[in-house]
Formats: sequence, C-alpha cells, structure tokens
Amino acid sequence: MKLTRGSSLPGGNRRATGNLEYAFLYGDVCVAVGWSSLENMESGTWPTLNVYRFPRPDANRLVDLPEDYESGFVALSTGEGANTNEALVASVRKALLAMGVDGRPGGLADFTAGGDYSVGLLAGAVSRLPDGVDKARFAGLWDLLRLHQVERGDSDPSADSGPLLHIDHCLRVDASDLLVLSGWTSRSATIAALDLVPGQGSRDARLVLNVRPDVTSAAGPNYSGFVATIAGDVGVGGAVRVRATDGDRLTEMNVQVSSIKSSDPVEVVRELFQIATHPRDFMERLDNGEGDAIVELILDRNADEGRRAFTVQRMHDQADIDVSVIIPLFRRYDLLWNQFLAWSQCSRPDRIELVLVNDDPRHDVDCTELVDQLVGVFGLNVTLLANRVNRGYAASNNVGAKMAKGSTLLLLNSDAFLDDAESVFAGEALLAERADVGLVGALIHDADGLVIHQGLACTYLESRSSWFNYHPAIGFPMDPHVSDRTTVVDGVTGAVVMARRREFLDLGGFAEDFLVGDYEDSDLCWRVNESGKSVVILDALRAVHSERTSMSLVGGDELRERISLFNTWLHARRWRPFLQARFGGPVEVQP
Amino acid sequence: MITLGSGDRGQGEPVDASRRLSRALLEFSGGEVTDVVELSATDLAMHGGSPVARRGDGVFVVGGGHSDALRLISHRSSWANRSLSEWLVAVAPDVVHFHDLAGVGADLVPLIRRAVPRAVMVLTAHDLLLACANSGTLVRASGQLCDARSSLECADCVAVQPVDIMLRDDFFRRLVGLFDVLLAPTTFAAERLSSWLGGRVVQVVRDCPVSEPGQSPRVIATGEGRCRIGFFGDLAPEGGLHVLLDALIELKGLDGHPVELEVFGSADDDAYWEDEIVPRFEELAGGSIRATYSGVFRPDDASAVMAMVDWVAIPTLGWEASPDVLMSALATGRPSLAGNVGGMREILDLTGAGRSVAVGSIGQWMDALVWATDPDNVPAWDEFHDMAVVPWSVRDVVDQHVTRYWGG
Repeated sequence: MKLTRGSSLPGGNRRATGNLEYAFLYGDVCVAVGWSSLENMESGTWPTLNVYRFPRPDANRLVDLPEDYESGFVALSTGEGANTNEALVASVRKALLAMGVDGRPGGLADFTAGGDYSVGLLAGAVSRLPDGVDKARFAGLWDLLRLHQVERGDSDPSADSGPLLHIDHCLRVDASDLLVLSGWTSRSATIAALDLVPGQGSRDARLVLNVRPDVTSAAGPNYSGFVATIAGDVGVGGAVRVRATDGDRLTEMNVQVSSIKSSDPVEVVRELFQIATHPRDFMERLDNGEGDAIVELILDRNADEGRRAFTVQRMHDQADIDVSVIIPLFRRYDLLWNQFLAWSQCSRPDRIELVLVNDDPRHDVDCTELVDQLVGVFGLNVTLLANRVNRGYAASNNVGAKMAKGSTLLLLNSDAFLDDAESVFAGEALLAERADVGLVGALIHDADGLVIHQGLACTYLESRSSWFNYHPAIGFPMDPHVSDRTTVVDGVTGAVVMARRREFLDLGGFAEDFLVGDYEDSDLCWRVNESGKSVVILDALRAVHSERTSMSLVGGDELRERISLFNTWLHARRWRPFLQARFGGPVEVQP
Repeated sequence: MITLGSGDRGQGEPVDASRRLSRALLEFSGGEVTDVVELSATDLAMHGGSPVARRGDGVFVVGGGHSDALRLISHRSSWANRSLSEWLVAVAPDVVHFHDLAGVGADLVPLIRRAVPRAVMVLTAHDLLLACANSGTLVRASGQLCDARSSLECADCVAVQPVDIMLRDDFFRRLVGLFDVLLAPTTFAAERLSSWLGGRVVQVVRDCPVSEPGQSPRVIATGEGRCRIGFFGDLAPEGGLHVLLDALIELKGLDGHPVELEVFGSADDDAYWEDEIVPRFEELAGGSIRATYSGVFRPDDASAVMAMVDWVAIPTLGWEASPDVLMSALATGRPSLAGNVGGMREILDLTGAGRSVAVGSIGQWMDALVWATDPDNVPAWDEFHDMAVVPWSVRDVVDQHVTRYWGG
C-alpha cells in the first residue's frame, strides 16, 4: 500500500498523507472511504460534503499519529454543480489529492460503473474496515443516503409515506424512441414516467423485477431491482419524472435522461446491456420492448442496398468460377495470410473465387492494402467488398453471395481453414449430385485434433429460459480417416458451410436481424429443413477453427454473453414450436 | 540457383551454412551448379519499388523486417513484391534453396513458388523455428526441454493466445507444403520436423563443414592437465554459460586442479550479462580455477581462436538442432564437453570426440570439468582429439545436395 505523496501543506507541520480504500458512485452521490492525516476534510473542491470521521488506529500507527486520532473517513459528496458523474468523480479525485489521499490507480473510477450494486458496495466497504473501528457509527450512513435522496428536492412531499425509489440508469434510445430505466423500489410498485414537457401525462412502464441481493440486504425483502421500459417520445427533453406507485402510496423523482444517440445496434446494446440483469430476467426485458427495438435497429442499419451499402473491387477476370468462398472480415485481417496460403495450394485455384467482405469500415484502408499485397504474392481470384457500415456476419455473407460468381458457395469464417482446400470440390460435387441436400457442413476440429463441430443441435437451458445451440460430440477425438461419408444432421454451423448460390439467395440468405454473428446458421438450417431438403456433414470437408476470434473483438465477456442471449431470444421467438417439438423445452408450470 | 540465408550482418548458422554451401557447389559440383545467386535481407530502408539491392560481397538483399511477427511476413509492399517477381523470372533459377525464413520473410516462399513454378524448392531446417514459437528452441519458458506440445502449452510458453499458436502452426505447416524437398542437418532435427509435419519425409543432409585443416594440440608442460576450456557463442540464457560458471564456482571451493575457462561471444542480452554473468565472473577472477571473458571473434578466426583451448564446452540448455559450435570444434580438432540431448548427442555419438553432460546439471558439469582437466586423463584427451574430425567431406555434402536438387 502506498501511503505518502510526500507533499507538505502550508501552515502545519503534519504531512498530508492518506489512502483511498473504496469509492463509488451512488446515483449522483460519490462515496469515498479511507483515511487522511488532515483534520480539514472540507479543503479542496468537494462539491458538497458530508463526512463521518472516526479513529483509525491501524492508519495512525503507520504514520505516527495518536492512537485515537480520527483519521478515518467516510465521505459523501453530492453532484450539485457537477453536470455529469465524470465531473463529480474528477472533483472528488482532486479533493482527495488535496487532502494528501492517494487515489489508487483506477480506485475511484473502478466503482463508477458499479452503480447497480452501490448499496451493497457501501455495506461491503464499511464491513471491510479494519478491526478496532467502531462500525456502529456507520449505522446512520444508510439514513444519510436516503436523506440525501429527499434533500435533492426531487421527491414529492408525500414521499415519506411512499415507497423508496432509486434510479441507477435512465437511458433513452433515440433511434427507437425507447426509454429504459433501472433501479430499485418496492416489489409491489408500478413504475410510470411523466414527461416534464407540460401536458404529456404519464405513461406506464413495462416492468421486469430484477434480482438484486444488495437491495434485499439493504432495504429488506419487500424491495427489488427493476428494469422498466417505456415506448414513445418520453424523455426527449433530457429529463423525466419517475413515479413509483405502491397501492395508494407514491414517490416521484426527477431523473436526468442519458440519450443513446447512436443508431448502431452494437453501440446501443453496449449501453443498454450494461444494466446488470439475471439471465432469466433478461429474456423478459427483451420481451418488454428492448428486443424489438434492437431488431429494428439492425434491420434499419442493413436497409441500404447496392452501392449505398458496399463497394466492390473485382480483382480478377476469371469467367469460369465454380465455387465462391465468402469470407467476412472483421479486424483480424492477418488471418488472410492463412486463407490465401491454404487456397493457393488447391489444384485448380482458377475455379475458385475468394469473396472477401470487409465488415469494419474503420479499417478499410488496412484491409485493402493487405489484400493487394496478398494478391501480389498468391495471385488468386479475389473479389473484395467493403461494407459502408458494420452489417454483421449474416449480412456480410448475404452481400457476398449476391456478388459471387460461382454457382456453389462456401461460407467460411475468416478463422476457419480447410484442412485440404481440394475438399471444396467434394462438397461441390455432392451438391451437384444430391438434389435432396440443401446444406453441406464440415467436420471442424481444433488445433489439437479434437472435434469442435460435426453437427449442431439445440437444448433448452432452464437457467437462461431459452434454447441454446450446441455441438454434440465436441471435445471428442476426431476420426483421422477421411472418407466421403455424409451424415444427415439437424443443423450445421455457419462457420464452414456450402450451399447452392441460387437456393441460398432464394431462401433469403442468412437472417440479418441476429446481432454480430450467432444463430443465423441454425435459423437457415431450420428453413432448409422446412423447404424439404436435408442438412448433412460431409466427412471429407474438414476444417480447423478457432471459434469466436472476431466475436471476441466486439467486447468483454459480459457483453458478448448478453448479445448471445439476445440472439437466443430472437431465435426462440421465431422457432419456438419447432424447437419445442424437435429438442424439447420448458415444462409449463403456473406458480 | 538461388540460395537464401538471412541477417543483415551476415552472421548466424543458416547464413554461414548457406554461404559455405554456395561456394562448395560452385567448386565441387562438377558443373551441376553453374550459377549461385545468394539472397539475404536488410533492415535498412530500401526504395519502395526496388526488388533487391546488392552488398559489397555480392550478396543480393531484399527488404527485411517483419510486418507480421506471428508468421514472419516481411514489410515488402505489394509493389516491391511485383518487381521482385519480375526479377525472379529474369533470374530463372532451377533450384531455390532456403536456409532460413526469418528476415527475408515467409511471404517470399509463395512469391517464388508462383513466380518460378518449375524451380525445385528446397528448405534446410537449421533450427526448429517452424515448429516452435519459442524461437525454435523446443525449450519451455520454464527452462524445461519440450518433448510434447499442444496449442495450450505453446500459448502458455510464449504468452500468446492459443488461437495465435493455431494460426502460426497452420500457416507454417501449409507453407512447408510449398517446398519440394525438406532437409535437416541432423537426424534429431529431421525427426522432430517430420513428426510436427505428421510424418512428411525430412532428409538428413549434413551442413558443409569448414574446410580448414585441423589445428595442432596446444602444447602443455609435463604433468599439466588439459585444463583450458573454451565457451563459444552468444551470451544468452539458453546458452547455459551460467551453469558452467556455477560448476566452476563450486569447484573453486573444493580447491582441485587448475581449470581455466575462456569465454568468447557477444553479450547482447544486457540483463543476462549484468545479472547472471558479471557476478559469476567476479567470483572467478584470479586463482587456479578462473574464468575470463575474451570478447567476440570474427567468424573467419573461429578455428584459430578455438585452437587456443583444449576442450570446447557447450553447456546449452536446449537441443541444438544444428550444433554449429560442436561442428566448428570438430573442424578445429578439439574435443567437446556438450549436452546429452538432441543434435549434440547425435554428433558426439557419431564421432566419439567428446563427452556428454546432462543438460543444466551443475553437478555433472563439475564432474566433467574435474575429469577433463585431470592431468591423469591427458591420454584420454589424446584419443578424443584423434576422433575430432568432421566425418563427412565438403564433396560428400555437395553430392548429397545435388542429388536432392535434381532427384527430389
């Protein structure tokens, strides 16, 4: 623990020293816990300050202060005069430094995103103070926080009799006219929003209660977290008045609205999905309007067609292309070295066309230059498409299929590589000979020869309230003997799959409303099944694959899990009876 | 024929082997090889569109450095590559023999394959760089010799994501598929490479030896032991000099017969030099058991420098797929004390010109040093010295290469 900054303050011999141990934002309140050698906690630029001081013998011993010196502090600073949480954090950090308190690197900011659990964090912070600290003195902290809520002047005079209400997030998706609120209140309360524009009236929210152990712990079992969604143009003015009604009691408060200006669905979910929600409750959230809003954003994003949607560079003049290999690209362009090397070793590269679809317009120049270099080294038939916006895996394949010259398609993830490029002709031959086959999938393995995929199925997960795709026999050793055997399966992954181009386009290609890249493959397989054709694995078509290399570039684990949950939600909504019949599903129970 | 080594400064085993072989082919192939174009790489900036430049020693150089370290892809622009293709077509080689991929860039392999598709492409694996992301050493970051591997273990060893190991393996395995002939200078390297390639044939064709005559033994007084030990090579952790010095420090405490260690080589690894070597040298300054750092030597002087010692110590902590110091010792007529694994063991078993020591074992190095410097064992040294000759000739090596060039 770094204890000193070594600076001296004028007018005193005592060195300014101290440590910040915990800090977090609670709405527009910043709570800081630590110790300081200075008596004056109101120096610096605290916007508004409530301070609890208490002896910290452990800290006092370290810097040779009297045993009973009240060096410890729990400080609550409100955001009055600070327009944003960031400004509040900055001013608190500055004040702490003026007090000689070292803000641990990131220590303050670490908790700013943890507003959902701030009540629990406060309890945790206090309970983690060292022995010898009179923790009973903090019994009033919770009251102080509530008091602050009232003091802000947002509450109705009758608030004393109304349910406790706290709003953690108030997000407005401008492109979808959707307001999403999260916070906590009485378990039996309803939430409504009153636009501050006169004459708007109130609008009831669709509400999902959200498991919040910190709330239950701090406010009792009658309180719960919630996520509320309200459709329409409410909150356009930058603020709403939120009302919690529990029977005949009500509480109201004014809440500032954070607008999500972007219409990019990935950016929108990056904001929306930061509202922590139990996976089971998450499905209900999506049902309440967020899911449809996201679908609408995806479809709007991909609405452009032709040259408004993408550019095309046909870097070859080969007329007799048999197979077009469509490879969507997202950032990891270096994977193309492996792809080009693999395809250059095919016996008839003149019959193959690589249709590269760059789905990251921010790196268009990098991509184009590298492809130019690769064509110079390998000389393959390349068609390079560049999406003008990030359209996702499904749409990238669809535009690739439209521009492809081959009558047979191989849809290939950029990080999947055929063991033998020659095997693409076996897939082509199979599609030419077997009219009953609609899709040909691959036996996919990892770098160490274990099966990753030899067919796709679904299973219902109770804990997620939805059907999830999985790959039976994953992790099994792969049969080293390559054969021309075909196996009919429920579905195949879209990472490596072959289809007739005309049929793929007639089916509408991949559904484009899945986010980033997930579940559009099973959706396509079910449609092929519905059309009366089968989906098979061709043993000779083998590939090595590192799953989700590009997907991992989208964001952290939590975001990716929620994107996956969104896709399962959409998939289940579209195919519920089919999935229930083929793979089983939830047993209906009325609580 | 085009032969490719690497390295701007013309050092390193692949470069030396490439150069010796080039000269030997012209001299001894009986007209089978009439023209050799040597190609290397430079780190200096070249004109963007220029395919090659030529050094004073006649070696052509291409732009080097790596834009993609995972796959050893060069910085060459697409424009430079197109010019290089035209240059290659004009040179029209019958054989292209790679001795290294680093520096010239792995992308040169498909470029040449496409530009001159009828040329026989040969790769000599002087190290196991293709199969091992840890600089081709097959030694784990922990120092443990690596016998088996998976993408997870490799990723852990070199601190990258498993996906990158997968991509690296996939790329180099496919790249090797562009070569018609794979060669390795030791059976050890050939077997390891073959195993990594799923059983593809890798033929053992030895490196061209230094053609200088062996040096006479150092004159010693009656009753004196063969006590002068030489270490030759880069002063880097994998070289194991610290193990050898530790053995000497232990011996110093035992006060046995004299041992003088002379250390030759460049100390480019500052941390290793400062933290691991200098303190040990300080403990071994003066006295009858001592170590001295004698600096670097020119490659052309290797034989003369080695002649100053009785034994060549090779305490390397790796396998030595291509044990060039050991080969130089044989060419000079000096017995070796060398690790008991990989290429070192293979050559010692083949020639009998030295004694094996367990890799990394301070105790075994103590035993070996005591035995080697014991005045009573001078006759044994004489026997080792008689066996310290390279067991194949330059002409043998040329014949074997020519056979592979034309016979595949």
